Amino acid sequence: MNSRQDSIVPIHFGPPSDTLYGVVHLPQAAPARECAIVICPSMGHEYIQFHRALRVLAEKLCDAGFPVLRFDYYGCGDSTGDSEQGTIPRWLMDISSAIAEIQSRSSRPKVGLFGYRLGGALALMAAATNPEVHAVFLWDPVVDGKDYLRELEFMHQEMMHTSHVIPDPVGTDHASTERLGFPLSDLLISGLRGLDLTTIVRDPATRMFLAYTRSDVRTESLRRKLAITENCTWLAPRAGPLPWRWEENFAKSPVPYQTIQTLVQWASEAL
Amino acid sequence: MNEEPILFGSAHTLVGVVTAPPEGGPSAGLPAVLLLNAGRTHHAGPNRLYVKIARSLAAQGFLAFRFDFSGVGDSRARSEVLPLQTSMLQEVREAMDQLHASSGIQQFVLMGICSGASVAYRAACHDPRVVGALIVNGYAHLHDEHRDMNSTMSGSTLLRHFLRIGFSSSFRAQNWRKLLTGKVDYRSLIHSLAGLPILAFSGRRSGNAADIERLAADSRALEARGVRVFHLYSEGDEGLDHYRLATRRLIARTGGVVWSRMEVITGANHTFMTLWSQQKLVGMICEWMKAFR
Repeated sequence: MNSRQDSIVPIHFGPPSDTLYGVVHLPQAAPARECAIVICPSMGHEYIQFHRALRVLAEKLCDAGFPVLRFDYYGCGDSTGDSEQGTIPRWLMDISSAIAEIQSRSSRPKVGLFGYRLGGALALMAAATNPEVHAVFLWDPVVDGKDYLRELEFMHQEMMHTSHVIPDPVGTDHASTERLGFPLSDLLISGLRGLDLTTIVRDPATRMFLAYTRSDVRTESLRRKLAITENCTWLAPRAGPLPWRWEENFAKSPVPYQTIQTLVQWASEAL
Repeated sequence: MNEEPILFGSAHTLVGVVTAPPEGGPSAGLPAVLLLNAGRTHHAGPNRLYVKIARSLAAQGFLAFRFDFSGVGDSRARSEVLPLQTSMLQEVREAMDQLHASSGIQQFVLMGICSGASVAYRAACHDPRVVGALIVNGYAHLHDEHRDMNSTMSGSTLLRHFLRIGFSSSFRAQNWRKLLTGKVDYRSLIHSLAGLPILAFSGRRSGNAADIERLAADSRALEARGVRVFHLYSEGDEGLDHYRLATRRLIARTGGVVWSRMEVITGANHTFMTLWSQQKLVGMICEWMKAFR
């Protein structure tokens, strides 16, 4: 049963010729917060599989009093653009548009960015060029783009071998590489290859939060580089594969309520 | 292409995106197309398929509408408790009401993948405004909506599926390779296969008879109304085996009325994980929709 107190509104925003799709969550009954939130999703299969979890995150943040905008990047989801047209620079512009949009709709000058996986990487990069961002919450961010591309390739090959699919039987000339149902253009691949969060120059005034499932060299390097000490938590991994691993029947994957609760608590205390 | 996100429904809590042709409005007399959620995947569809389908159909002059059932994607959960099938059918009606109110369109084609396909079929059976139903990898509509598929039907279908996938499908080589190189969960496989032959040939049969009678009545009623029904299956999908078994029993029992068309996309899986299969699917849908022009 639904007994929610917030209002949700699906919107188009951004440049008229290249509109972006988003959903605004505005709190109705909770105490007002000074900050609004933008949620930056991942791409490809991660975007589809985690859509529900990010909606739940938005609702919980709204319950805590934050106006929230979650949106689709250009060439993704319901936004304009073909799937082959998304690029890193374009998506960074989209985050800037989303920041401006939620500021306007909520009348909040300060913004916090939440980013999951590639969205985390983009959020961190966007914070460096958007001074109104006061906090960045990273959830299992992609730290190294080359590693990410290798992971996608591995999962794609595994999918091709285990699912009931065959490669293109007539050799259609696709201009893009494909990974798990989505194209990756040469421009996007090039952008991802150059992505290394450990080289990001952090604004010391921007608060950082990091929640991560996989404790590896790159994540540890990021944590040290960003000097994230107290606002950092290692998420005890659930039994089975990593949460962003491709699953044919992803609907059975539970929403990570515990992680969402932690993130909302951080936001409530920090913003 | 013109797109508009909207809130609609009796409680104004359902979210959808209307895609209209680029010239500013749908071509006169064409039905609108509704795209129904594939399971819990939100209205963009598996691999963004519903976005691609909607925009391709809009380029042909159709108005397309993809939306989320309550509790799925961007739509809120319902405030009152209703059985799932009842609420979904009601929300399909609300979507059609919305498009009629905003654009004057009075006829609709319903499409869906997986569970969305079955809802499309059932809504077509219940609403005279529906003139077409595209069932992609759906099979729940082949048995009574108020009863889980009985064990005999399920066992028969799974047995057919394993035999087809293992011995005659495009995937047979890769499946045997997996089996012989240890890349299979042998325990699960043995568990699944162990009781199948017995399950397939015994068990309650009364449920089968009721299902077949209902299917026969539904298909006759749809044909009498002139509703075009297109069943489209991926070769790798278990739904294909459900469909073939159901129609074989339908023909054996009633002597014939079957749906308008059925086709298989060779080499594709349930959610069209390859770009070529997505392109093939969109192309076949656009081709089929020409019949409504």
